[in-house]
Amino acid sequence: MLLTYTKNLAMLLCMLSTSSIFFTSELIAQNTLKGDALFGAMRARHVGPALMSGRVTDMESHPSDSNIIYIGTAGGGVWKSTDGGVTYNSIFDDYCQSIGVVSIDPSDPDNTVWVGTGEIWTRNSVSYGDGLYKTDNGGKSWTKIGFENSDRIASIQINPNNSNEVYVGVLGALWGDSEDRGIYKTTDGGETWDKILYINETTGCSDLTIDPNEPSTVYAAMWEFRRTAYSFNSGGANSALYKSTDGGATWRKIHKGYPSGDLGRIAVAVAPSQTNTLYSVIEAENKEDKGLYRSDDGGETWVQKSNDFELTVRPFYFSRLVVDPKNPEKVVKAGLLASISEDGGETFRTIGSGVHPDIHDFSFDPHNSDRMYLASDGGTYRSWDGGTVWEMVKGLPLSQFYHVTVDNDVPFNVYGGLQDNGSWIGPSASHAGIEAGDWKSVGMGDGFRVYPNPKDNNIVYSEMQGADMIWRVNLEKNQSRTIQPFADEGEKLRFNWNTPITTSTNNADRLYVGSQFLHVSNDRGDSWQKISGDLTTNDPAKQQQAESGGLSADNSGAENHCTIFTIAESPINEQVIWIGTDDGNVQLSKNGGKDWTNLRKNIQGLPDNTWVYHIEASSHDVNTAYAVFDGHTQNDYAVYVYKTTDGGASWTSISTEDLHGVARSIQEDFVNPDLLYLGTELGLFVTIDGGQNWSKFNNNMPAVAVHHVTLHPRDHALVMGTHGRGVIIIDDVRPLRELTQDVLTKDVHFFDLGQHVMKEQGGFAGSSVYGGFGGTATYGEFVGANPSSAAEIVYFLKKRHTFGKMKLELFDTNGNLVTELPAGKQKGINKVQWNMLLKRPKVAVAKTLSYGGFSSPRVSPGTYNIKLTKGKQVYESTIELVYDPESIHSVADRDYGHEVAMQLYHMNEDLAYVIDQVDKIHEKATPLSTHSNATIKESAEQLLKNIDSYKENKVITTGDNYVGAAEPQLREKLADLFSEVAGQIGKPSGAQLKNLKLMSTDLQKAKDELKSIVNQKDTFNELLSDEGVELIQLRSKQEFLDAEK
Amino acid sequence: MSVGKVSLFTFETYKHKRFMKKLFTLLCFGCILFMSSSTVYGQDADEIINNYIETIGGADQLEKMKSVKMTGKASSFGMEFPITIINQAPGKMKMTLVFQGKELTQMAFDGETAWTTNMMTMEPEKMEAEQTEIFKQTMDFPDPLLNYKDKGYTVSLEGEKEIEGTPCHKIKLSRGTVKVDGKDENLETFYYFDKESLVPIMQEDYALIGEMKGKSTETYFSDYDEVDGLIFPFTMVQKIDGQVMMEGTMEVININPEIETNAFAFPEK
Repeated sequence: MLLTYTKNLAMLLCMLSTSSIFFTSELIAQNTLKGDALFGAMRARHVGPALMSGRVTDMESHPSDSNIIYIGTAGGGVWKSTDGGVTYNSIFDDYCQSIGVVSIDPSDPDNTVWVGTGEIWTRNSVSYGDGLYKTDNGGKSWTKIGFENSDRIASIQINPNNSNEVYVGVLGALWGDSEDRGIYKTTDGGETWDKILYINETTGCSDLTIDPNEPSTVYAAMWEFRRTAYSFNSGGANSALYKSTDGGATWRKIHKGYPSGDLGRIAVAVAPSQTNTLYSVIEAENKEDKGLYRSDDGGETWVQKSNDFELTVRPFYFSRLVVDPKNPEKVVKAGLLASISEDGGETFRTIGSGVHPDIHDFSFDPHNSDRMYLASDGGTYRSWDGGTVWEMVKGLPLSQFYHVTVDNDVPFNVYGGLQDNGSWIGPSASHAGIEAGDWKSVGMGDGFRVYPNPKDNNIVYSEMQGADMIWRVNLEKNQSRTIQPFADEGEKLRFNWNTPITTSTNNADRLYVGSQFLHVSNDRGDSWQKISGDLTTNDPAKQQQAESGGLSADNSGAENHCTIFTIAESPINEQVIWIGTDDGNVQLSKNGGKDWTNLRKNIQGLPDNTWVYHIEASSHDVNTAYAVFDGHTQNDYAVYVYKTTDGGASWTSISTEDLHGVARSIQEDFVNPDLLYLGTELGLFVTIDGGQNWSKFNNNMPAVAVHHVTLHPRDHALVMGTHGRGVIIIDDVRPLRELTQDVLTKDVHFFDLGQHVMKEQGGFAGSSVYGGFGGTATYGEFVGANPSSAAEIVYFLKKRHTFGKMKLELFDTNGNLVTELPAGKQKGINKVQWNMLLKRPKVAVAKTLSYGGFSSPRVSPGTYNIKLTKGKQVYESTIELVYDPESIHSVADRDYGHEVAMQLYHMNEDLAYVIDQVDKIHEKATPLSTHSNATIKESAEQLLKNIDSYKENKVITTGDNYVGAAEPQLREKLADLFSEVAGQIGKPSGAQLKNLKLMSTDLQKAKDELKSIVNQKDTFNELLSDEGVELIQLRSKQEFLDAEK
Repeated sequence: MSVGKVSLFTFETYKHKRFMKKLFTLLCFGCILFMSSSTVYGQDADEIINNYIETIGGADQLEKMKSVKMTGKASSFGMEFPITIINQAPGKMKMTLVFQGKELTQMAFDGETAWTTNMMTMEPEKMEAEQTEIFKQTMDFPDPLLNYKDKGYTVSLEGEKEIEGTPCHKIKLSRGTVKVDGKDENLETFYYFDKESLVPIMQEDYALIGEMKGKSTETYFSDYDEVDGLIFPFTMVQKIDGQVMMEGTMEVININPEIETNAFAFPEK
């Protein structure tokens, strides 16, 4: 459309030209492209799985609307259900995914919700938070309120009578001292805060509750605790339960009835229907004093009710009490299996079987206490019978991967281990999306690193925590055996909770395992050889795990320390092996483990003993390696990423201010060594200039902890093991490899992605490659997204296209327009998907729709010209399609199938034109059937009658599109045959070809019979001409095909 | 629509179901497309909206536009079809598609009754009461942001956000509440105004009803061009969870065309 140069448009153009000048100069000055624009349309794909879900830390039910439930998760953000817990949507993707607490404002429960980040179930693998958030629209958007250094927020209590009055309990740092701990209060909705209770830098708030009837009465549990990489302590003289009756102005301990001596973690809950009744569960010095206490006088005196196992088990992990909103005698306690009392805490029953262990929280339906929900290490469950029988929510992909690897199958498989949920293999694509049943279990307990044998992926290695078991699994035979190395005489092996195992790209049967020594096997784990001495600092002070736990012993192996954590054999030279330890050593052997050099002193700017989380040996240069360090267990959240290019003699930091979250894993691109992918605690970061500038990847990528990143060498797919949102894949990173300075200065640049294979799986041309039969998921179950099977036209735009026309057309080599596609218009990389289908044929108009007529044949393989028109500028490129080499059909058969499909395509259009002609005659003759001239009237009537009779066996003239459908006529039969042939690949069947013959005969008959109608029309026209009436004119076939109707 | 009532799972019914599902999807999502090609702006929200209104032609010009007819092509899941949309102040609309030469009213609203075409019978059917009420409260031609204060709407600047790599102002338009399942639900739309060009490049609406309730639909605007002194986005792309549900490109936009009196009314059988 031509622009009229109005005042408005002139104003617009002026603005645009000014800004584009600005843009250009900015580009030159910065010499790089950063942020979302770098990635453009590249989009992350969530694969799951959700069959075992993941750790849910907190649940909150709406106080009056049973349909609304919020959950906070350990590493997967905040999710909301609006259908009573059947399905959940993620509503917190852009922010820290580690959640301590979610609280709904009782006065405005539809809109106002607060989220405190930082999980409070302080296990070894716990992440950390970055403050307090609030939404005023039910989670559509969030505002950060503050508390950046709170690390973890245990409780948010809102005055039910005054939304502006809020108490926040900050548990604080897990791995170090912090003065941010304590209780805070706002009276202005979060604008300003007063710290109203602070004990010291080691004691934080583990629980906080208010009396809903007397909101100035506040109960606060304070907990002295500390975790290190090698130990955990719960309890001390400062742990206590406090009460304030003046809104937090003054506090006093309420311990009457509690045991004397040090206390550990305390949980406290008020019975909402009888607020003088409180329950607390405490950790005490003596075993018999631990457990549940009850008070019926607002906490003034306490009576111990139970110290059953579930009431005392692992207090740092299970310290949550929830009281039925209607019944003060029904109380639920989180635990290994969790337990319920219906007699005010006197006796308990465990939740029972069928629920994933390690239960952290509960909520009750506000109107019917028999409807309950629970949160565990295996997601959420719902019960309709008061907590006896539970069903799992299958739509929460919260799986917490520690690591991922891939194989070379088509489609490739992803291997990885999960927190408390074993080890798994799942496909990167499947028939109807990646469903729960597509995943195979290959290990028990906590799962970590899982590897296929590089040349024989029927053989898989997996492990459980602390290398208690390392398995070699034969998938085909469904058999496994354990293969972990054992200690020599007089020796004790120290394996990390997350023990490093790895295979070799140089020797398929090689396997490495790290304890404090490096072990190697060249026979798939049957025999082992130690190829190093102790490569750690071997600090005895860090090897006292039997003492770990504090008031409750907790020696699970989670604190094992002074161990090897990462192993990297150079893909270029198998003699070169890099290892990193959890206590900060980087060691290198250049002779297959005979000699080792500790390189730690060569790394500047790195605090001592910082955990070496991942070393990546370059695939481009044997002397180049990358190391990422994770200081969070020393309360250090800096991002440490280093590179060496001289075999470890010197290291350069490639961390910049662009990066956030402690670093976990780095992957060097296999083609462009300046392209690096970094997983941190807060997401995925990418650099295209060797680490000078980093950009966070945001498109469908939550700010989730990326514990491991790997790159598929054949499919160019970046595969991430996230610790809270399962496996996430970015399907094709090739455009990033091509983003050179030269490309960044062009207005438009087409990326060369080589030939596109026209996949044939699924059997339905035009459907997704994997879009055939086979889906079993029911409503609400998570199904991982498949990759696109479309041909992609990928180009870079220097600037977003907003004004004026932009179109993308494809032409065959003869210059015929094949299709027009919706052009991508965003700044950066654009991806336009082409389903490789021709336009649908124009089918005859009838009373009902012809389903067959909605089919299209695939285009032929070959080169197609791309024409991108942007305003007056035209940009051109090509795309080449090739047949699938994996096809079960010969090229000749596929060509023949296409030929027959096209024959039917044209037959459908022929019939459509036949019908158009009789319809046009009918349309014109209809008003003449009431003409005053009797001859015209009679002739018109006869003509109409003949047309009706003619059409009877050509198209459907009655019925509907469903079970009222009329008998199919020629149009339907022809379209259905076309649909079958066009929708399949290869030679048509004998039956189809026989039917084609019949259809051809019928069509020819229809054309022949049409002649008679046209002759009648001509005769009628002569009559009309004599009488001076307007003649009936027919349009040409081309005019018909070009018309919309 | 009774998509789920196919009883025997033969290949024919499979194809049928797949097709009907596509049409069903169209019915569900297409309705939002083009209905509210509206926009707002603000350094403070008010200023952003005023700039936007000025940029697209000014309040006077917009107020003179009593109706508009847009014709073009839409595509959804690989199916392309001609589309016509007519809007008339204060909130009447009709969207018509052509399938196999047959014209189908995919959605229409005459101010009182919202209706659609049943794809099984090809007959018009009224939409349910709550859905109609949502229409009543949200159909606002020519633009919800025009004189938004007079209409009792409120706007707020929700910060800045990059949309597809372009820095934008995020603005929330609140239009009160509507009853869904007997409960008040907020009518909120988020607009993302390109900081440079002052027009919105994306609009985000949340489903208020049905199984998509709570899910956001993102509508992207581009190919802005001028018609008789007003700027329209000629292309709109609608996405849910990043997947394109529908794409439409207008070929012709007529301002104040002739419209039959009963163009929007539910056809009495």
